[in-house]
Amino acid sequence: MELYKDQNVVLRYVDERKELLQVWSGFVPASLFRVIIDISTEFIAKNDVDSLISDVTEQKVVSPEDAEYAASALPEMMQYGLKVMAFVIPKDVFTRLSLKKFSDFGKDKPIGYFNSLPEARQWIKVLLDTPVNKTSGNDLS
Amino acid sequence: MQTFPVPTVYEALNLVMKNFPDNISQETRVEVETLLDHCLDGLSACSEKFLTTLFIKAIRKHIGPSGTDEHIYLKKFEVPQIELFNLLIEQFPFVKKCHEIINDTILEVVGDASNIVIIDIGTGMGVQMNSLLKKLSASKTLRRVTLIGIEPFSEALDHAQSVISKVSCSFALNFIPVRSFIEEVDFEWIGVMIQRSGGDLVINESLALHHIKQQTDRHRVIKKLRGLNPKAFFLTEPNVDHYEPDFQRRFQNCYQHFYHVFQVIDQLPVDEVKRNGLKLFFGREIDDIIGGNEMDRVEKHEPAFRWIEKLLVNGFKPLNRFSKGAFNLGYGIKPEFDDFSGSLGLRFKNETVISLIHAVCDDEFLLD
Repeated sequence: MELYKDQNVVLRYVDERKELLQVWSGFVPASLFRVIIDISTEFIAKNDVDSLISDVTEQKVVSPEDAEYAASALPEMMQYGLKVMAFVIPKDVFTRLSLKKFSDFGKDKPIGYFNSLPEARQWIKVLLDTPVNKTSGNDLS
Repeated sequence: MQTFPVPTVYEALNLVMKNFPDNISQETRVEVETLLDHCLDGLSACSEKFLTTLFIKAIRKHIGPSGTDEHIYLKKFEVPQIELFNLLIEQFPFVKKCHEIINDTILEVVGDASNIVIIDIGTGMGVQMNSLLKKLSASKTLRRVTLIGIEPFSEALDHAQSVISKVSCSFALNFIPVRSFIEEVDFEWIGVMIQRSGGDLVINESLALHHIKQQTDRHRVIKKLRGLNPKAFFLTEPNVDHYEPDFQRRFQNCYQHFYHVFQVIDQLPVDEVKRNGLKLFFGREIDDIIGGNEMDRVEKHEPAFRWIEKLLVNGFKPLNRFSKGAFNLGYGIKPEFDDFSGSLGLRFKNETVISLIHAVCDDEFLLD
């Protein structure tokens, strides 16, 4: 199910995996970036979402303030039932610095960083399939 | 995986500089802001982050303000001018050791003369001449020294005069302060002063000639100095090309140079605030080299071989003759005479940071 689509971002819910997927592209205006974070949070709050994947392979730099904004939304998403988050790491040098900023905030959270979407999905699958996570509720952090 | 490879700050800064100054967009502004934010995290403990912050500071005025103000972070590393000055002359090897090597060599050149004239170009606050005069005082033959100190800034020259007047000399000292840029000096008048004094002439310049903005003036000054027929001419200059008009190349030269300078600063036996205060001091040079426009820039360093070229075409020739007394430099810095350029380089790792040149008049050269 496609929740949002324009030239900079596609936001999609993959029902069979309970996965929310953000695919970013290019230099995303700050206002749009924050809107997508907000829509994602709201969607997780109202739906059964286990994982969030942010594919930032083609995304350009995100300002420190926006990276902080995204990081600050993560605890809320976890509260609403999100179990795990993964990034497909960017090609762009500056976006890597933006991602570093995000990752510094999320050190204690179950976040993985991968070179491709299949790798990210595989990691999530293994993580969610381990018996302890299946039986002990939502919190993997 | 739980982590990912983060680029080096140089990798990112190099990309920023590729876009500067002609391709500045909202995206590149955010890139600069992101890199700055990355550098400010752990700034004081990481030399490369500090250096990169100074480069960003230098270009900031051209790309406009952003959310983060590096001045607030850098301000806490400001050290009083006088402490910085003492740190430079007492601890910083590229100043202290250059003074020692040149002064010891001047002593050898002076030998058992009884009367000498010294022209010091860019006298500053008289630090090098102060210690030279003290060394010369040990001479048993010297009866008279005429010191012509050329310095454009009144405050520095007044200080130099005050310091030099207090040196207890074993000879008659005549200090002639000349408040001028070297390219504006009246060389005829200088010639008269030298003639009146009658002794052998030694010329010293330390970190001064690179302030002459135009090549034609650099040549003209060296030619005029050659016309004074000195017994020796000593130059101390950073061995780096900041005359380079191409911005990207100049940036790379500048980064490479200060990257090595900062690694030496990191080894100084002083606290972190002073170390970073010293780096901040060099930030002013980076401001000029990277942030200044072509017409106004004054820190236009040139590598030693270019100074040698200018010396050669104006009737000087370089000598491999330096006093070795101060050759134990410490901090991993090695003295290395470069036969190709004809200069003594103070080398740290793979960078010759500063070069010393000992030139004499080439008697076979025909003056105009």
